[in-house]
Amino acid sequence: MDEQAREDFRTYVAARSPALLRTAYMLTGNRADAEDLLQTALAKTYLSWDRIRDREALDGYVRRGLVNTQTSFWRRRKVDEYATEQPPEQPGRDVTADLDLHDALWSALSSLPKRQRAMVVLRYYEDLSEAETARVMGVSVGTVKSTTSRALVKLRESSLLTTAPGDPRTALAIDGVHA
Amino acid sequence: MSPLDDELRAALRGRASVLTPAPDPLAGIERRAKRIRRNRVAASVAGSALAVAAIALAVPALAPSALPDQLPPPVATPGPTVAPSPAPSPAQQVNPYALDPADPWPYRGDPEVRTQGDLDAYTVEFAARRGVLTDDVRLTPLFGQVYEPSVPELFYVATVTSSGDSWWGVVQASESGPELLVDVPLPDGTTALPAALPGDEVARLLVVAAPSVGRIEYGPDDASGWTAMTSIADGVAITPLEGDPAADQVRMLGPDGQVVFSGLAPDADAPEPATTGDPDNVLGWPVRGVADAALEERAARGFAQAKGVARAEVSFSVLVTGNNDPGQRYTVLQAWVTGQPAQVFGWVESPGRDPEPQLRPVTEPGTAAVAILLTEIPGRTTDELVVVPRPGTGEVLYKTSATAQGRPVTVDGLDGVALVDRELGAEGDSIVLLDGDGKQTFERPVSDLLCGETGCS
Repeated sequence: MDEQAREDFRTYVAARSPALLRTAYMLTGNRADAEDLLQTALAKTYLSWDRIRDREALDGYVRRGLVNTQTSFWRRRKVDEYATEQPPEQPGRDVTADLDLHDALWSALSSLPKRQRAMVVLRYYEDLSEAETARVMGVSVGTVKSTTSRALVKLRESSLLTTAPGDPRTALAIDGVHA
Repeated sequence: MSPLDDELRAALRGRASVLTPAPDPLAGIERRAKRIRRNRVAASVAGSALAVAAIALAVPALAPSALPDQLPPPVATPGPTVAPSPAPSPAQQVNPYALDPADPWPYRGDPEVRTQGDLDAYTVEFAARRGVLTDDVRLTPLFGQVYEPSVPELFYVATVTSSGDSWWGVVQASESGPELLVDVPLPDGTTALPAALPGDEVARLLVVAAPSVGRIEYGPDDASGWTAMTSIADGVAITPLEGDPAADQVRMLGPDGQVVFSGLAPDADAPEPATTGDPDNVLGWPVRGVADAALEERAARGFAQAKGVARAEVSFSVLVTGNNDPGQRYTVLQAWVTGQPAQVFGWVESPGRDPEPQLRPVTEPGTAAVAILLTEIPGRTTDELVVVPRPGTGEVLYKTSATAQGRPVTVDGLDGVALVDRELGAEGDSIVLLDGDGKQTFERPVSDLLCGETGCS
């Protein structure tokens, strides 16, 4: 990579890292893994930088890298590789004893299989259409529909969302599925 | 939109909003990139730690005599050379390394991966993609293995028996059911099934070929020459993918060292080819009516003929299949040629007549209804209009003119499909859709719904 290309890449990373890190965080559930995941996806992008002609499509490329890497069954943790000035969160920190509605949803999300979680994130955080989600995930639109539907059912059935009558979490849990 | 949808969005965004990135992450990224590059060069092929995801291509056999012109080796190496080949006799034209779907290569790999239950599940998934019945599918496992910790993956060749068309692919058992990671037509004479399989950091290339093939080699673009891929079974080898995926190559040698196949390696980073996914404009509506796989397959062949392509290049989803008392059978598909958008395609078979194809324009986003017209119905003095509305539609009304009152035409038991006895040569009539509350959501002249591929009559 020549100096100009490196500078272009640096500019891209500086501009897009915050948003991409948030997506990685949605996928992993904690900051440490999110940093690690994003670094991996950006490193792959770095290696492919000279071959990526359509710079408008970069976010899609990185997003696909994030999802593919995260959903890789054989993904291993590499805690020595991410660089961050903030200490990583401790496992379990996100599941608190005193859950409000959003905390409950967040915790329930962590119980989903990686692929289901990724589809929920792409559909409800990234606001991608089913077709766009299918492209990122490398699956058919039908698979997106069925997997997302299963994920929502699982969220609804989560014990974290089924509490006492009158609790807003219970209202969410008994609402019909809209997938 | 449900409360859960809204709360999910709010919960995710609330979480994300408090996150701030580390300053200047470039140094870390470059360190990681160097490590990946180093791994690509040095990785011993620990294939058991890798798993599949998705891009692949089927490569027809390349006659040795064609190699020098079509694909020279990427670098000069002391490796095998292409042997001169005399003009083949008819008997010699049968390539001993080609995959014959009627008599496929023997299964290699882990027998646990091809349990009948798994094969049944994979067959159902494959049949659903093809829009055929599972009884119409013959799926043969070629190679299977289990990746750490417990993900079975399987190379297969599958044939739709009613049409004779074959595909090959890779399926993986996932938590959400079988995933056809590779699913592409099988050209005649295919000798190598190379799949690019993204890994953790290093993508891998897995090639399945005839057991009688000798060495399988990989040629990266970094001028390091051909290197032998790691053999994990007879005719099966893997290697990390390195270098520029646009230039990586793979070749196979016969037992005597002669090149029997050479071609580009598939690209793990490339966008997924259209052959493994549906076009964006596929409606995704439920299948209505009574399935008739043979009729739907004939319709798919009719679509291929109308588009001037091979059947194997055509995919489709069924919108409705049905028949009427005079014996006409029809199906309405969304069909598409690989890499092209989907079109609505009607197919009507009437006793004593040639089948009638009805090709509509490229399906537009937000399509509310599609229709075909059954004509020359034996014993009737009207045509029959078949209207398939989008799911969730309430009543379908038919208006004979702009000022006429609409009459309900939805048929009970057909999941919202409407049938209209339409006067011969009718003009100015229209279709109206109501929602569940009886509110009009759509009105369109029938003539618009019957537009051909290139225009409306």
